[in-house]
Amino acid sequence: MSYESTAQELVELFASEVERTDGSVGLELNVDEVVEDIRRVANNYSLPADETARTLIGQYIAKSENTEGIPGIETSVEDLRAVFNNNGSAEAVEAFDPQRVSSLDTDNAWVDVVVEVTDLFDDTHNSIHQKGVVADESGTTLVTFWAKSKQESDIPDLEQGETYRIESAKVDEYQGSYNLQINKASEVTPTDAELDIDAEGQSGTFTLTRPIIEVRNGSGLIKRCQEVTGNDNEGEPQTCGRPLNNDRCADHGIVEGEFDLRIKAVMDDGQEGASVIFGTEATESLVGFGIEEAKQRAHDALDTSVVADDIRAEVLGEFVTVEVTDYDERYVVDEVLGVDQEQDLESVGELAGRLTSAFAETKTVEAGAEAGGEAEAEAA
Amino acid sequence: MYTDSNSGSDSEEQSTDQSTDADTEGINPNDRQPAKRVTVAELSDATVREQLGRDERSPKFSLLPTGERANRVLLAGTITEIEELSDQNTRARIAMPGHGDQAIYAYAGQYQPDIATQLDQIGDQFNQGQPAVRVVVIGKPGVYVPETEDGQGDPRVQISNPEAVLEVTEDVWNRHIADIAEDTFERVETMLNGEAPAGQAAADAYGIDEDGLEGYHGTGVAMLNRVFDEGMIEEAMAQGIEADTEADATPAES
Repeated sequence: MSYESTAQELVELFASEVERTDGSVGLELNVDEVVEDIRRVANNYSLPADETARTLIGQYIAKSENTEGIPGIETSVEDLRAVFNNNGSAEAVEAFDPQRVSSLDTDNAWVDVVVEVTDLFDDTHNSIHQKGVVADESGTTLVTFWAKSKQESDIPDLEQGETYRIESAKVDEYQGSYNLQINKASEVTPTDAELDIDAEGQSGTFTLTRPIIEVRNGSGLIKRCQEVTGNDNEGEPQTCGRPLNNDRCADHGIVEGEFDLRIKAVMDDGQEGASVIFGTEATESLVGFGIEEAKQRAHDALDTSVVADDIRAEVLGEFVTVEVTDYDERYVVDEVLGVDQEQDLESVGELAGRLTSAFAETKTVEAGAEAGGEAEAEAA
Repeated sequence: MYTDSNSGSDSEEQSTDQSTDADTEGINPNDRQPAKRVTVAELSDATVREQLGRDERSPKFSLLPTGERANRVLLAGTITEIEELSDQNTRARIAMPGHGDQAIYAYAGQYQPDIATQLDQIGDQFNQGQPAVRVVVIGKPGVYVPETEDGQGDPRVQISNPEAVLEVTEDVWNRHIADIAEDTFERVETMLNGEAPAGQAAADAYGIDEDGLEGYHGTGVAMLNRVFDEGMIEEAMAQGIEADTEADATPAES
C-alpha cells in the first residue's frame, strides 16, 4: 500500500467512522498532512504504511481530544483500528499500488512493485538468501532477499525469469541507487502479468569486449569492514562491507577487516571509457588466482599491494570479453567469458579495400570532369 | 566530403587552445573521455587544440584531421629511444609500423613518476641490447610550439601527459594495431561521407581533402602489411574492392 492510498483511507475512515458526543460524525483530516505524517513516521520507525496508519489513528484521536471547543469523540481508538483493519483486508487487492522501479526515490520507504527477476547472483554473503536484478518497463534495480527474512516467513524463493507481485518491499538507498529488499513483512506472489521489458533494460546485462587500460587504485587485495551496521530495522545482521583505507572504514573508523579480492578496471574501446568492477569470483576467473593465493603472495612480500601489481602485469592492455550488468555509473562483471587477442583481419581488410575503391572512384570522376572540361574548352 | 570554407588560405596554426561551444557532438564533459585509436601519422597532423566550453577546467581536445575530437588517445608502437633530458624529464620516442621515419615523443616529468620509472626500466632494457619494446601508450596529446630565431617554429604534437605505457605481448599488440587501423579507416569513411562529427571543423582547420584522407588510409594499410601477413591483407582488401565495385553500377559522386 502506498502512502497516498493509505492516507486516503484514513481520511475516509475519520470522515465516516468517528462519532462525536454531540451526535455528529466525522473528524476532518487534511490528506496532504496525513501523507506527510505517514511518510515521517514510516521513515523514523521503519514501518509499512498500514502499520503507520494504525499508529496515527491513535495520535489523531489524542490530538483532537486535546483541542478545546471541539465535541468529544465517542469512538474508541481500538474500534477505529478494527474498522481500518477490516477495510484494509477487504480492499487488499485494490490497495496494491505498484510503483515503477525507476521512480523509487525514498530510502526506507515501503513500496509495491510488479517485476521480473532477470538475474540472480551466485556469489552472496551468508546473511543474504538471494540477490539479483529485477526489472519492469521503467528500468532495473537490485533486489536483496535476506536470509533471516526467509527463515521468518513463507516467502517463496525467487526464480530467474519469473514475474512477481511484491507487496511491501523496502527501498534501500546505497551510493545513490535505490534498491529493493524483501523483508519478512513483504508479500511475494508469482504473477502471470507480462511485462514489456525492452532488450537492453531486459537484464541490463550485455557482453563487452574491450581492452583493460587501467587497473585503478582500490584494486587487488582489499579489506572490507565487518561492522554490523545499525541501519537494519529487521534486526538482521547486515555488515558494512565498505573497503577499508589503511584499516579505516569511512563509517566505523579503525576496524578489523575481512579480505576480499577485486578489480576496479577501466575498459575503453575508443567510444567509451567505462568503469568495470570485477568481484571476487570474476577476478579469480580473470587473473587465475584467488583470495587464498593472493593472501599468500601478500604475506610473502609483506605487502598487500603486490597483488594489484601482479594483476596489472597480468591484464593491462589485454582484450577481455565479459558479461556485465549496467549500474549507471559502472558495469559489474557477472562472468568473464574470455581473454583472447584474435583480430578480425578480414573485416579490417575489407573496409580498407572499400576505401581504396572509393578513392579510386573519386579520381575517375575528377578525371572525367577534367576531360569533359578540356573538350568543352577546345570546342569553344 | 567537406569543402574548405577558408578557401585556399593556409590554415592557421593554433598554439593556444581555442574555445568552442558549438556542437559538442554528444561529448559529455563529465564523463571520462575515451581513448581514440590513432596512427602516429594522423596524430602528428592534429595540431589544432580546442577547449570544450569556457571554463578553465573544461576538457581540452585535439582536432583530428579525420573529423573527430580526441581528449585522450591510444597508440600501439615501439619505443625506439629513451632519453633523460634532465633529472625530472624523460623522453621516449614512439614509432609505429608502416610509418617510415615518422615518430612521436612522449614525455614523463615529475608529475608522472610511475611512467618515468617505467621508461627508465625500458631504457635499461635497451642498454642491455633488447630490441625495440612493444608498447601501448595511452595519454592526452599536447601541442608544443618551439621558439626559433625567426619567431615560432612548426607546432609539434606530443604526448605530454602519458597515463599508461603498457608493455604488451605480440598478440595483444597486434590486436591493438588492427584496432587502430580499423578505427582510422572508419573515421576516414565517415569523413568521406560528410558525416564526421567534427568534419567541417577539420576541413576548415587543416584544409584536409580526399588526398589527405587517402594518406591516412595508405599509412593504415602499410601498417597492417608490416604487422600481418601481406597476402592475407591483400586478399581481404580485394574482397572489399569487389564488393564496392559491384555495389556501384554508376560512378559515385565525390
